[in-house]
Amino acid sequence: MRQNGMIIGIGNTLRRDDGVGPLLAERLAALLVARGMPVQWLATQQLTPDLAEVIAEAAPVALCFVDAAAGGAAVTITPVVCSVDSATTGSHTLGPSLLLYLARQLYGWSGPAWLVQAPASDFAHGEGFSPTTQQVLDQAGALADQLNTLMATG
Amino acid sequence: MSKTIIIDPVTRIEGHAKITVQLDDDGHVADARFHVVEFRGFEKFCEGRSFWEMPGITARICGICPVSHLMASAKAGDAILGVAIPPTAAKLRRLMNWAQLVQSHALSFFHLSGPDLLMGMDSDPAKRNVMGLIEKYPDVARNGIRLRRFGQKVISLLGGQSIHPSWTVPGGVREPLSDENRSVIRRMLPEALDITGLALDMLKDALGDYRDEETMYGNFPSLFMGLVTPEGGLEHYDGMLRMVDSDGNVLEPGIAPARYREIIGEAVEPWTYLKFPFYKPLALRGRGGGELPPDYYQAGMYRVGPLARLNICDFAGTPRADAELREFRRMAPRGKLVTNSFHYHYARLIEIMFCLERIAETVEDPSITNDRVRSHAAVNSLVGIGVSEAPRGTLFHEYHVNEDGILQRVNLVVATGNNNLAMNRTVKQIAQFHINGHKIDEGVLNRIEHGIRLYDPCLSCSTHAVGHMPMILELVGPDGELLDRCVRDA
Repeated sequence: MRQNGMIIGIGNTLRRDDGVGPLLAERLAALLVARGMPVQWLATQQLTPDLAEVIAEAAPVALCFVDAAAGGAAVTITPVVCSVDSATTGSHTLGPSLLLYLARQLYGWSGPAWLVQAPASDFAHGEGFSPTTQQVLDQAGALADQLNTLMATG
Repeated sequence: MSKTIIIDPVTRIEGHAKITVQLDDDGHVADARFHVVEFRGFEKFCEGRSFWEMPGITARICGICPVSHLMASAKAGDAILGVAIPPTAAKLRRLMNWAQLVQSHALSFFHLSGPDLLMGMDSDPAKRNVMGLIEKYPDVARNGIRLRRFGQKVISLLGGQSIHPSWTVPGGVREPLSDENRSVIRRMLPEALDITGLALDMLKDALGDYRDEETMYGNFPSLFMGLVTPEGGLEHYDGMLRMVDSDGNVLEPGIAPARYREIIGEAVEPWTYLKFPFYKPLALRGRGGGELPPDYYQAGMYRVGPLARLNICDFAGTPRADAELREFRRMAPRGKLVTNSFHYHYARLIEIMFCLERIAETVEDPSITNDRVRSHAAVNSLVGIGVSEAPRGTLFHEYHVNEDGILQRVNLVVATGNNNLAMNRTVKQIAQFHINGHKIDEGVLNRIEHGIRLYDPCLSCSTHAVGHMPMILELVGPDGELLDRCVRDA
């Protein structure tokens, strides 16, 4: 039996393209489950320290963050390196690398992780997406195939 | 030649700010200002919306304390409807508000101020942050996460989600508490109480190391304001407004919160977006009808939040919090109030204990799972004022609507704004103690930041603003020449 993966969608669903993180996370989770990988997903407006404990309790075999990225033309998938990101050590929110650091240092979880970034350009109030961002959602199947391989192999 | 120091951005607070320190001809600190440099304008763009939408809209002011805005907004909505909400709905709102205080205070104490308190104000700045805390004191960091998660979990169990739950509405709440969720809360409480007890012991053990900070981190006489129960007990959701001075004289024993404008004025300055609320009777005393001097409002300075709430109440009302409160009050001369803002930290922990005890009591109340949780009505009043205690202090939402419930005017007096005069005074006091000359170092920067952090300001709330919080410290001479500048990114 394949082990669980975990997807965390980041963004505000009321700020147009910024909402792509939660929606794409949900969509990818459903697609990965359909491909035989049990996946737990959750949505958050920002990464907070308590998510380290959530990750550790779920103990996923692999983790994937999904977020909007201003600019850019295509979706990217990059490995997340566990590190102390000094740019986000002082505020109420964390970056993915710092969250991984917390999960490892405090709870001993140290699986592989990736960051999926969807191109985004419209952060106005409201729902719906710009054409480029919508295209990423429409092509979630191909993205799920890539993640299925990455998350299964670590 | 006088000089000015600027600290920009201020870190480990929520929002954007900078600090300027003005030196006189002798190189001594003449004045200091805490500038809030962000603006959002919720009061304006909410005009034209329905008051029914306001809990959902104003909760978006902040991702840290959305529940506080939900409470004040829903209470303003209750007033517009002219209804008394069902008793179970009031208890459930209180439950969520206490949970909000727990999670917010836990974040402030363990993760925002913990690095300074445990690692020392002069420790290596590269390590004096939450990461340094994790490396050196992992148990403390885990406890902070655990306690914050308790609060978030209770909010989520009640409201369906921990951030921006759309559960509190004019007339009550949307959903009752299930037996199953009540059991979940019960099971989590013992650990949360243990963590809080440990944190109180840890802080009290460390207080001896911070005698300088006690002396000059916001140690000055001021008024203190907050809500109390009709009996004078510690209150966070309802009750009466009380104003007390540092000598313990009660200036306002218990005014109805809806009459807040009779005692609270709001001043503005061109150098900050954060308003300066003040106590009108004191600021205007002896002024007659003539023209007021520009700084007249400063005489009405008051503090709000955990320190103020513990100062103004006659008792807490729960066993462990009352025991801690008695010990806390021994720090001040008999009959006087604790005037050191450094003790906001201590007060925060006592409030966490109080909230946990209240949550424990409330989940045992047989009526807490009653399913009658909402009163229904149409517009019955064209003005609604809702007041509650947010983690950082007293929060006011005032709505003026037309017959259709469409907002014509909105006024928000937010907890952090209430502390604006005191924060400025604190910055000046610390600067006067630590700055002597035309250069600023990392130690001074951090001490001034910590002075601000005592109040755990939420600038996103208080200016209704966007973004996170960097800091600039600038040293400026009397002729306006920039002498030194320290910049720290968010």
